Amino acid sequence: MNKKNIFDLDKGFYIVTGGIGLLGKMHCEAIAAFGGIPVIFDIERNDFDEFARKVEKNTSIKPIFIKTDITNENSINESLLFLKDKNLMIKGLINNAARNPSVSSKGLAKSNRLENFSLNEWKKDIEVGLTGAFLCTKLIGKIMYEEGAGVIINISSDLGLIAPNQELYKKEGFLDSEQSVKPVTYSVVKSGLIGLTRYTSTYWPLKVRCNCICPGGINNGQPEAFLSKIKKLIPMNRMAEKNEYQGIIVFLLSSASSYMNGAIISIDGGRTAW
Amino acid sequence: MNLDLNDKHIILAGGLGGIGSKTVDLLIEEGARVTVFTQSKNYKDHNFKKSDKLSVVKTNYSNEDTLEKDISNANNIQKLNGLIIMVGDGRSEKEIFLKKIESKRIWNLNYFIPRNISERFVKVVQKSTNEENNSELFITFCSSIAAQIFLNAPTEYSVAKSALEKLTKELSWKLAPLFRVNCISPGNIFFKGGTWDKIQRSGEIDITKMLSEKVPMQRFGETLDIAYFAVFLSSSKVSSFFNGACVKIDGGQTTSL
Ligand SMILES: NC(=O)c1ccc[n+]([C@@H]2O[C@H](COP(=O)([O-])OP(=O)(O)OC[C@H]3O[C@@H](n4cnc5c(N)ncnc54)[C@H](O)[C@@H]3O)[C@@H](O)[C@H]2O)c1
Repeated sequence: MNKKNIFDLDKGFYIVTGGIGLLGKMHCEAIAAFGGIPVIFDIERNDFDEFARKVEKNTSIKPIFIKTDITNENSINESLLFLKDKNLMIKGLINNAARNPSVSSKGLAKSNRLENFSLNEWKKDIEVGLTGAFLCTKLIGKIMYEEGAGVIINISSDLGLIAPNQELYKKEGFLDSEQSVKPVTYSVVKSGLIGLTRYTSTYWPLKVRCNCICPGGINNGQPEAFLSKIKKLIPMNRMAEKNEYQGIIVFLLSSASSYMNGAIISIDGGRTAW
Repeated sequence: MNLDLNDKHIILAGGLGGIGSKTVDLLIEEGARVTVFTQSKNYKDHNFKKSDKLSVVKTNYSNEDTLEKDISNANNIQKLNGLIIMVGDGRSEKEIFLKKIESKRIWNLNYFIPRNISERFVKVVQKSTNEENNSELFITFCSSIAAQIFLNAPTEYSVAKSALEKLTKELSWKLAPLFRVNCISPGNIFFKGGTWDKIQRSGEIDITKMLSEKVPMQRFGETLDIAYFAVFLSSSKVSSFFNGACVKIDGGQTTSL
């Protein structure tokens, strides 16, 4: 099962929304390592050029960046037009983009609380996390269906399966009413993606498979106080490293998983094994 | 994918069955050493390709001392890294409440044997490892989608498989971080000599109708579909954060009822 084998991906484009973010880049690296061409749909370009050079050096495959706002149907359609001109089919879609306002940032602390959470923030989060995933599924899923085959992976979270433990985000020196919390939209978006997965997996089941992964939190420079609290909630006693989801991404995109459809897969060191 | 399985040593209990034997083939292809456990009298009549890294051991799942001795022997040949348990069977009588003796047989096969093998495996392996925190060790159980949904399978089979899934979750907490414990729940898997082959030949069910009504992908799964994932979970390189997961591979069957 080494390269040139069952986990190898069909030649073609694999669209990763939010692909220049922390996890998105990992998905793209994994896709390229197994012969697919990663196509990033993101509103930010960030360090794409440097990232693309690195991926190309390691895999000889050059990722593609297309500036796309996934909350805007026209923007997605324009990006798809660009791909249409190339002589390759779209084989996969990873609905990965999310608005991730940091819980720890001071300014957000109060406004993230449910009693203060603004309708505007709610709309923005739902627009990227759910509406964006819906639009990409609709437009890109349809193309894959018409072309005969494709795979969709939705990126939910362990917090799509359980409620956030708000104790984790508490900081000393703040009143209870001022403590930061994980915003309500995170739970709603991530649970919604599980519903979208179930719907999509039974919609074009003969041609387009759809599965969902629920990753646990990634070790990414969080403060020690947070780390020591969250570790206790995870049987494996640690958070994930950012590359630990690459295996399942390739597995789900490849034909090794050709009978997997509608699966909601928790990969969280055991946190949601209740 | 570099699964890093070269020279890893894995016990596959129930390794002569349809899914088990495919898993053995793939593990050997990946360079792993595999010790197959079976209770079958015909344990020598297998079709595995010859390999120095494969041994087939006839054991006795009901005798815990024998079981422990056989696991220790395997561990002495080469330190064990993991255990995959494919033992289980859903064929039984049609009654709603099975007769006591049959009910016991089904529970034994689908719950107690997997439980006992894992108990002995943990005991042997824990004794011979100095590591406490490396999560390189794993146990993979094989349940069924009958554990989750009503399939009209024998009552005790579905209930015993639910218990096995709960066992996975209990052990994933209690044996972590040294072991990763996960479970695969296959849907309708067709192979020669398997349950669906027998049902098809008996003509008792209209298979095409059943598949089109019950399975969104409108087909059976193959043994390889399960074996690939069992191999995936055996690789601490690619599945290092999988713990306590019960993953269904069923063509979407449990998604829309
Ligand atoms: N990081 C974690 O610990 C973790 C854990 C579980 C699940 N997840 C999920 O994984 C996914 C990726 O997370 P991440 O940590 O890489 O986040 P990230 O913030 O680094 O990346 C998100 C990306 O989405 C892009 N994006 C936002 N709005 C967009 C829009 N309108 N159109 C196109 N792109 C847009 C952003 O520009 C960014 O590049 C998210 O869905 C997240 O919820 C992350």
